[in-house]
Amino acid sequence: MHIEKGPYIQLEDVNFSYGNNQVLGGVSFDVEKGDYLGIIGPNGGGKTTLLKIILGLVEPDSGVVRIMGHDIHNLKDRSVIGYVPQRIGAALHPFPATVEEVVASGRIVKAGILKRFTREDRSAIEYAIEIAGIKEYRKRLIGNLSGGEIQKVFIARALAGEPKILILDEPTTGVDVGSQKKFYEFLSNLNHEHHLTIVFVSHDINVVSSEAKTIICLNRNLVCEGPADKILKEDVIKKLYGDEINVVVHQH
Amino acid sequence: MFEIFQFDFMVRAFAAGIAIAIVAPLIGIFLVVRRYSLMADTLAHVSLAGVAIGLLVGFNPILTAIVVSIVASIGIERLRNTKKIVGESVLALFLSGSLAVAVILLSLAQGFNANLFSYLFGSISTVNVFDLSLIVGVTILIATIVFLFYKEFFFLSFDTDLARASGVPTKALALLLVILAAVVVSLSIRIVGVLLIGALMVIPVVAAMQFGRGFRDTIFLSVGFSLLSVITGLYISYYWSIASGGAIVVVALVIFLLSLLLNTNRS
Repeated sequence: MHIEKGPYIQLEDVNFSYGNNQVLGGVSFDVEKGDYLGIIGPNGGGKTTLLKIILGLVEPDSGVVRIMGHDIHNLKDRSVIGYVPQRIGAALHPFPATVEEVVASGRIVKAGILKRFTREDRSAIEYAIEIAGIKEYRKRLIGNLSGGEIQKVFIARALAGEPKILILDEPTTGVDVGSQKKFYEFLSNLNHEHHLTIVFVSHDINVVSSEAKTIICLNRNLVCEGPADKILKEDVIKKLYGDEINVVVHQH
Repeated sequence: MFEIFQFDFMVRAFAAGIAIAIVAPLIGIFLVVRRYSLMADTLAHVSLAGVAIGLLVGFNPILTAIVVSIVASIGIERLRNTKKIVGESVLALFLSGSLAVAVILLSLAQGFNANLFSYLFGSISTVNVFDLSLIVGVTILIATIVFLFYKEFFFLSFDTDLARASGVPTKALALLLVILAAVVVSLSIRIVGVLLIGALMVIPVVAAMQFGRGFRDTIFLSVGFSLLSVITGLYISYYWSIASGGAIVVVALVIFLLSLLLNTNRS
């Protein structure tokens, strides 16, 4: 699936409610090819719901979602999106799966349902393991890895399907500060060197402002949208998180 | 050791037992990792209702058990998907409900006798030629389906949400899995019995999981443990004249305890 022009992700007037509780109201934005978009907002601001709508896991009450020009419902090749969910942590522990097996599962849709892996599929899985830097623990059980290691495995799994867009939900939850820095360097490298369009959600405003090229501020509605250095002003942050917040600006 | 094979019924019992030993953990592992172990027990109780129908109408009880448990497995999945009833409550509903139906039907069929005992706990002398052909034929079919859907079943079990977001037909796969489980449970009635088949689907798998291997290796290990349990259990059943299901499950439990001990010491 290829489109030469137009945004990779397009949302038009998306609304969603859980019962009477409106979670997203009139959300519209575009994500262009090669973008590195960070979505910030307070807890309960609709970030994860937004990702689920983009992935087609949740049906919006109204509005349109297009992926590479196709309505999400008519998107035949789902492998264009790689998704890295929030780390499941302890739930992974008893699951008897090696890193290699988990990464390979990311290739299933690209290879085709009920099709055996070809040599090309195997090479893509190997490549994903290599660029994620997880070669040395490929035979280990997923449940025996640290938070940072698991996150890399999940990214390798997403990359195994050779996606055009990588979507990550709170990718560094439970990852120590040192590993977080390395993790975002790796993500930035995927964006620059491998030309992957990246969308990630985080509640950590510092991480998003220092890593993402473009930012979307979400608190049920779209509060702001634009380049990180231009839009994150004190009034916007207060609008997003409330007046009681203190904004301290520092140079990275 | 081999003199027991001079009896045709023992040959049939071993052949059927080996088929069940292969297929029970093959489906059981997906139930265990999906935290759905109780499904096997629920379907076993449902299949008892199927057996009761067979006894009441004078039809092959294994066939009626297969039909009834397939219908119930579809009902369970559909009810679960509506999300009107919380996860395991659906299983509790079907487990006790089908047992109640089975008890009523068995009373009507006057089936509370030694014949019923063999359905509850397994009996090596009850496998006839038709049963054997059915068990072996369906086992080959189930093993082929698992081989074909292996990648998809793994993906579904490891990360259902991601599989769904990726376009994998997760609901259809989950339904297929419970239908296969229903068939395995019904087929196993003759050898392991209704009350103990759940154990054969689960214990060899959890024993294999103690070794901390990958998914494929865990499947091979669990099939190995299951075969060891069934073959040893059938020998014990013959020489000590005890119900085969009990003997098989006790051997499986010993293997589990040894696996636990071995790996606790190692770690």
